[in-house]
Amino acid sequence: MSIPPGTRTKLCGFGRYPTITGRLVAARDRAELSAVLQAEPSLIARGNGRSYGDAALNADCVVSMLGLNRFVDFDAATGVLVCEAGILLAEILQVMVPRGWFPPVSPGTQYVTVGGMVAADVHGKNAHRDGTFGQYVEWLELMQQDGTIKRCSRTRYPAWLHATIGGMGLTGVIVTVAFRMIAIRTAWIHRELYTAVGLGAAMELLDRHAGRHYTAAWVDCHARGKALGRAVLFCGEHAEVAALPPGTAALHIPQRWTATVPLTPPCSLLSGFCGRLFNELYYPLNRLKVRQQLVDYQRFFYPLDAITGWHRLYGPRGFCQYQCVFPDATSHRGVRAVLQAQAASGQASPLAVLKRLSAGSGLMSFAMPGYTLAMDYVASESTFTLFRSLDAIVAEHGGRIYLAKDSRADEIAAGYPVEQFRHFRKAVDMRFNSLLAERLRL
Amino acid sequence: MNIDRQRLLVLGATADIARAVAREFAAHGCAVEMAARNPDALQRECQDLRLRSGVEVRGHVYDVLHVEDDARLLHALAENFPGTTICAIGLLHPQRECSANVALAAEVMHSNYTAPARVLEQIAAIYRQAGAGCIIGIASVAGDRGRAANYSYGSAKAGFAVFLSGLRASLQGTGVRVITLKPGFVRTRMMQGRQTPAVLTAAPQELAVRLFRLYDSGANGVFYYKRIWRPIMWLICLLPERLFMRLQL
Repeated sequence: MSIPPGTRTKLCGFGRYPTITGRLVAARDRAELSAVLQAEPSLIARGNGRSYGDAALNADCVVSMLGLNRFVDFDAATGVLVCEAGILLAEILQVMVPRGWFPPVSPGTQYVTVGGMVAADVHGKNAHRDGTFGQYVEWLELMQQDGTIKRCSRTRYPAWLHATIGGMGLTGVIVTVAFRMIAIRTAWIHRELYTAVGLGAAMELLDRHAGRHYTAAWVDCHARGKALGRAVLFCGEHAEVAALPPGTAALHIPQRWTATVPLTPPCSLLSGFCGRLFNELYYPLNRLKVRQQLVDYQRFFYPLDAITGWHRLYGPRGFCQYQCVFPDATSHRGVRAVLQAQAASGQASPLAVLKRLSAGSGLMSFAMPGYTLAMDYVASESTFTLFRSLDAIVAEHGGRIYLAKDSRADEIAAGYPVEQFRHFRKAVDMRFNSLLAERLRL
Repeated sequence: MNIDRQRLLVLGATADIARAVAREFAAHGCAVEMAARNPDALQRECQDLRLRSGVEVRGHVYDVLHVEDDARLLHALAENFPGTTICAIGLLHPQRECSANVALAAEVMHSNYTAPARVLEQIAAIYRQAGAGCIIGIASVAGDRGRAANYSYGSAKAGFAVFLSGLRASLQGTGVRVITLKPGFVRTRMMQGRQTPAVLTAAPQELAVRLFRLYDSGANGVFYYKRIWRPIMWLICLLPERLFMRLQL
């Protein structure tokens, strides 16, 4: 088996910070992948590059999994879909939604690979109720450093399954994933909208609507004082056929309006004045909006996917996301402290999302019962200074930061069982390594 | 022979362009017959296409370099012969290796030209008799002018393109079409490891969409993808040989 040639190219995560010049090797099937694994002393698998920082970067070798993107099997009786790890969630939606099936958990973009969803144990708007993606994984095939495949399930190699879910690709290369989908009657979501005047009200709203299938809150990071944490809460339920206007195709949605950001502007258009303007307008505008509405699933789950390259609006330096979670006991204090610190720093985030989570399903999963807050900032020294102060708040309140979003922390906040995880990494000769793993000494 | 217009035969079905084209035709409701050399890879692609599209998909283990495989394939298809055939068979080895190893050079030439021409001639005969059908051949811009970097491959693709052109002329008036598609840079496995300018490079899916549109509009002739390659190749062909040699394009 010949090893596919690599390309020297610029590589980065979704935040475009950091950017490295590295070698990208594309594997098309497991035989090629196996050859690469045996030949390379250090590598990391890469999906569609939607983790924000350096999780899918390695200075020596990065293996693109996008060529392993085949459907393998689907059982309509159980809803279990088997697919190769490089398949995009977008492809799954395109094929499965018209047949009445939906992913059990969906992150904020559909342009992620299934392998990436497992590696980061992603959560979605239903995280408070249904947990993370890892819970729905029936089994997965993990290729190890010698090119052999370990099929991990809850009964065979359960510890490896546990370590691989949320394991950021450091326990081996995820090759195939079998996961349970949920049945839907329509491709439409019944959306409800609520506004909250401050953080306390926002968290109370989230708690009150914890029985809803999907909830998430957009938070105005510019608001201070009493209005600190004012928010717009979105709730959603899969709509029944009877709720659709007559003549609507239940499982097919209209073609969506899309746009592309053609180039990177010389400076950020989302922070500073523009971000402030957006936030000032967004809250009042949503107060005027229709409270209850039927929207298609694309608009509900992936509003930003309609604008290809929207993240380039953050300018040439790229951006960073700070996402942390606090356990239930300290959530209120923690979230408030973070919002206050970032508002006081004078560089409020143009986009922030507050959600309730429940426990994750992997050893290194980010999710835990409590509240999570995610905020975007332009990558800069002052941002990193702010992030360090936020790290202290997170540590003080027993929270943790999301590895898939991180690009700069010097050390991992407590709350991750790193020692235990290392045991699995050593078992595969530390062959699977990323800049993230090196930086945080995972 | 009974010709099924809603059925596509894909020769070289595990190639990236073939996968994309099969998917595009299947999305428009065409049943697909996939023919490829590697049984495991073939089986994987068939299953993937079946699950994605819900159309009827059949796999045929077929090696274009084995003459005896032709009869077996055509026999297996005979009952409901696919009204459209796309040949996406292609083999590229670095020119250094081809120059150093004549057997390899011969294999490249055989795989890209003489062997596909042989099977397409037989399929053309079936279509001619039925008075309907469409043959799509994937040639290459590399066949428009011989470059130092890939002349074994390029010459074979040139031969294939001329073969398709002659076939098209001979089928004039019979109701059978021949589409020659000459891709420029496409992000396929064949191109792996090469950096190419984004404006000249296409994704296999884009090419597939364009090809289906050509097919659907009743096209018959030579087409480039991306389209900008037509003027580029026209200019390159105009260069005097002495200049072309020196430029080392």
